[in-house]
Amino acid sequence: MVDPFDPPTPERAVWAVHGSRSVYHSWWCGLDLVDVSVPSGRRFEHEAVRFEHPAVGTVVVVDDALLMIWRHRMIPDTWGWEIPAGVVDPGEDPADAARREALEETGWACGPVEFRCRWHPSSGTSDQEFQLFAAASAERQGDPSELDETVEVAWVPLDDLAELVAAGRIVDGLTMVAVWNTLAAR
Amino acid sequence: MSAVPGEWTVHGERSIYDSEWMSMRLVDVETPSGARFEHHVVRVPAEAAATLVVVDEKVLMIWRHRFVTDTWCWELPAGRIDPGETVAEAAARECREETGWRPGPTTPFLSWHPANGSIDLTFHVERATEATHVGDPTDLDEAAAIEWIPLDDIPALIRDGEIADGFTLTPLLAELAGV
Repeated sequence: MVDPFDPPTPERAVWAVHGSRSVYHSWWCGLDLVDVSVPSGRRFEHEAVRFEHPAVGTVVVVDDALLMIWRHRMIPDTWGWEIPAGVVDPGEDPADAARREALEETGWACGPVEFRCRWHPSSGTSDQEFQLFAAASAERQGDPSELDETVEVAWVPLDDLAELVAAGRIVDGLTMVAVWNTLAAR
Repeated sequence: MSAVPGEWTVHGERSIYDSEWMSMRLVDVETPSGARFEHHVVRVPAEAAATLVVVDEKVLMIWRHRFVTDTWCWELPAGRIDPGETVAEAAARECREETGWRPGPTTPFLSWHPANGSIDLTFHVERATEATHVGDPTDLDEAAAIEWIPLDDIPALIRDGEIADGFTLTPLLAELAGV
C-alpha cells in the first residue's frame, strides 16, 4: 500500500526530457517539440503547448448565490454560464487579477479573496495553470467594462448549479471546478 | 459588429503547426465591441475519456509523472478516444490498460471543455461502482503506482497539490459534492 500523501517518484517512471525545440512563440503562448523517452524505452518528439501566464477564476458567493456571466466562446462555439476569469497580467498578483476580472466582467467589486486551489486543465498537452479565488462579499460599481465577454450578469442560486451542469448550460472546466468546489464545501 | 449579438464572429483561420495530435492556429476573429484580431487556438482533434471508479468510498487512481508540466499527480485513468470507439469503450479500455482493473458498467458522468479560451478539446468522464482485477497494467508508461484512494483523503490531496490536473480534479469535486 502506497501512502497517497507520500508516494514514490522513481527515476524509471519519469518521462525523461532530452531536449526541446521551439516551433512557435508569442507573447501569449508557444509550442515546443520535446525529445522525450518513456519508461518502456520508446523515444519520440511530443508537442508541449506553453503558456506565459496563469489564468484565474473568481468565485463570489453572497446569500447562497454565485456571481456568473453568460457568454459565447468562439473556440468550441458554445454559450455558457461562467464565473469571471482571465489571464494574470505580467507582474500582477493573482489575487488582484481575480478581483480585477470580476469587476471588469460583472461590474461588481468583490471583497477580500482567498485562494482555493490550482490545477493544470490539460496536463497532457499544455503547461497552462488555472487558479481559483473566492470572495464572500461584493458591491456593485456599475455595468461591466468588458464588452467582449459578458452578455448577461446574474447571481445564480447555488441550488440551481448542478441542474445547470446537467442541462448543458455550464460547459467549461474552470467554472465546473468552481461549482463543485463551492458545493462540496457547503 | 457580430452577426449574432454577443457572439465572436470567425472570418478565417490559418495554421502555424499541424500534426496527427494537434494543431496551432491563428483565427481571424471579430468581437462584439467591433475589435478584429488574430486569436491563438490550439486544436486537439481527438476527445479524451476517463473512468471514475468508486467502490466502498474509495477511488481507483494512478500516480504518474507528466513531462509537460514536470509534475507528479494522482490521476484517474484516461486517454484518447480511438476512431470508431465510444466514450464508454475508450474509458473502460484506458482503465484496464493503465490499472489492470476492468470497470463494471459505466454511466456518463461529466463532459466539458477544459480550457475553452485557448484549447479546442473535450473531456468526458464515465463513472462505475464496481471493478474486477484482471491482471497487471499493460501500459507501462503511465502509472508508477495504482491505489484505491479514500474519498475522505481527496480534499487534503487537492490542498497539498497531489491532485492538480483538471481531468481528475473536476469529477472528483463533483463526486465530493454528491451530485
